[in-house]
Amino acid sequence: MLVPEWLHTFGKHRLACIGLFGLVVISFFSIAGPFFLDGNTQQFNLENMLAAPSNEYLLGTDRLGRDLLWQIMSGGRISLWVGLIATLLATVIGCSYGIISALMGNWVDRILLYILDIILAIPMLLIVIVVQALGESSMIKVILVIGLTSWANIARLVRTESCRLLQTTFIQAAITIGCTPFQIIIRHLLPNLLSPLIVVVTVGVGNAILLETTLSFLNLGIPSTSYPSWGNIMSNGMSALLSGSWWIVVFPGLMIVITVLSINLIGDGLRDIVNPVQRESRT
Amino acid sequence: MWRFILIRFFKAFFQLLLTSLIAFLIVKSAPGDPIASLVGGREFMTDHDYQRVAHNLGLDRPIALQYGTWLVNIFQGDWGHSIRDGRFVSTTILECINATLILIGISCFFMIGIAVFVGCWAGLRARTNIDYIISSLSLISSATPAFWLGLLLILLFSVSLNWFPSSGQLPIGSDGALSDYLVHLTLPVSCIVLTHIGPYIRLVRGSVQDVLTTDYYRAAQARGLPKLVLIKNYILPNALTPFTVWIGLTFPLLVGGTFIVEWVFGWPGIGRLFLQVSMARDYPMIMGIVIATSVLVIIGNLLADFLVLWLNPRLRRKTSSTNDND
Repeated sequence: MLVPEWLHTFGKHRLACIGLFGLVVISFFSIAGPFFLDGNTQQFNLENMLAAPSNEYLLGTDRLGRDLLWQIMSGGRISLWVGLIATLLATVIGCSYGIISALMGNWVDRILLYILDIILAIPMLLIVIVVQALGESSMIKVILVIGLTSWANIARLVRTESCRLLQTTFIQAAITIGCTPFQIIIRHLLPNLLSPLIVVVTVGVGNAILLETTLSFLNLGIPSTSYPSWGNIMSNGMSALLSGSWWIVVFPGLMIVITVLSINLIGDGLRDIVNPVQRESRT
Repeated sequence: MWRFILIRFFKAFFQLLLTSLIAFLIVKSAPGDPIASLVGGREFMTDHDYQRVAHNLGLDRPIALQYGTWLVNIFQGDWGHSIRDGRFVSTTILECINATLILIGISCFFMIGIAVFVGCWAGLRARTNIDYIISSLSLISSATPAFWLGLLLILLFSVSLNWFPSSGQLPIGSDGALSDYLVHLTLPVSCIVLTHIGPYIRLVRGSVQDVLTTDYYRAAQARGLPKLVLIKNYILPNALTPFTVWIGLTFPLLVGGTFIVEWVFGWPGIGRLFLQVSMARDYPMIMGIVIATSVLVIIGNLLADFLVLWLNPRLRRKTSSTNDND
């Protein structure tokens, strides 16, 4: 049985279990958390501007007197969703690019690979910043921009793996008995690509979250007038930082670190499942 | 060997071309009418004036031709004028790029040094407490956003302890003494190194462990060579090649990270300038900086590639095929 086996391997990977636990806690905290809080805490409350963490406000308040805990919870929802959807978009683009490159072969493959190399060497952060700085920003735009600029790594992996798979006997056999390319992709390539893909995608979600928070921090991501995100909470807290209101910057950042760390730990665990040979040399 | 170098330069050229094309298209597709914004609004111009200005600026020509003209100008050193202050784009960039180069250079130096040292240490002491500590720290490092760590460093070392200045390159009225520079460099460099070093340490640790299991290393060990010789002649050269390749590959990320750190620490480099002009929508400056940064990244990539060639004798012999392997 395949499923219990990989679950077993994952379970033996202690760090990955910690990561999974962390991610589950953070997701629950972000998705279900706001329901447990008093609804009034999200209102402006100018009497409690920049209140330090206390019993009433566990993590303090921001400069409009809103409860930071509530903001971080709802911010987590946004940051996690943006990271997830942007990476899914990148995965779809990367998979298509990689599979087309591998299937076409010959000079198409060479040219596509060449372009991929070039794209990988472009400092994407600059392009992202330019796109975000020109024109209005919205959540959809952030997702699109992150997705459209982070697919190159995935495409490279998919192309390499597909090339290897296309040489295997079972796919050669499938080609010989006259399967259409569509059938080969759906029935043979994609299921076998899944395991190496899941590792890069996991790490990709972490990177997308980092990118989103960085953009939002620079006021180039999710507009703080629409939804709170971990990045724009910090961006709002910047002005209060030098006067000593450390909590507005410290807590959202900690959430980012814990989330991305959890995701990366899960990625490590998955890598060990996918690639048992490496497990021997690299714990 | 020469063929490889030639191909590599060819690739670098295309890289530059593609980046410039992307930047050009993004700026072209930005909302807003550049001609109307010159006089403050379309309603202040007659149709005849509008067409005349468009013709004079070359904006009525096909977009491919506009791109070509712009590209030729770039190669001839005419990078245009800033919209904000009317200065030459190239002059402003040249003024700022030194600060960035210093920051990246020093960060790279420390990062490579520390990553090689710490990574080797962890690799040689695999599955001991010191290895676990180093590995955990490097994992945390790659999960930390650079801007956040920068803010924490400012909070701790500038606001609370008052050891280091929070921003800038030199104090006002300074005569440019070295100590002033060093004091201002400490926090930004620490921030860049601490947030980018994680993957490098893990990579060095992994390659060191790979070498430890090879036959030639065990043979050398069995001959009773001293530990230092083993490390210097057997472990380091083999661990360094993937490391250098990786540095070349991740150089764009490092440059991007440096930009953010410059912004947080008010470092007067090209990254802070870039964020400023992006937010001010100063198109000629934006495009100039994108080109300048691409040149920087491409030079970094080329250096890494040639370093790999120099480090790894096996590649030197079969260089023409290095392009195709993955």
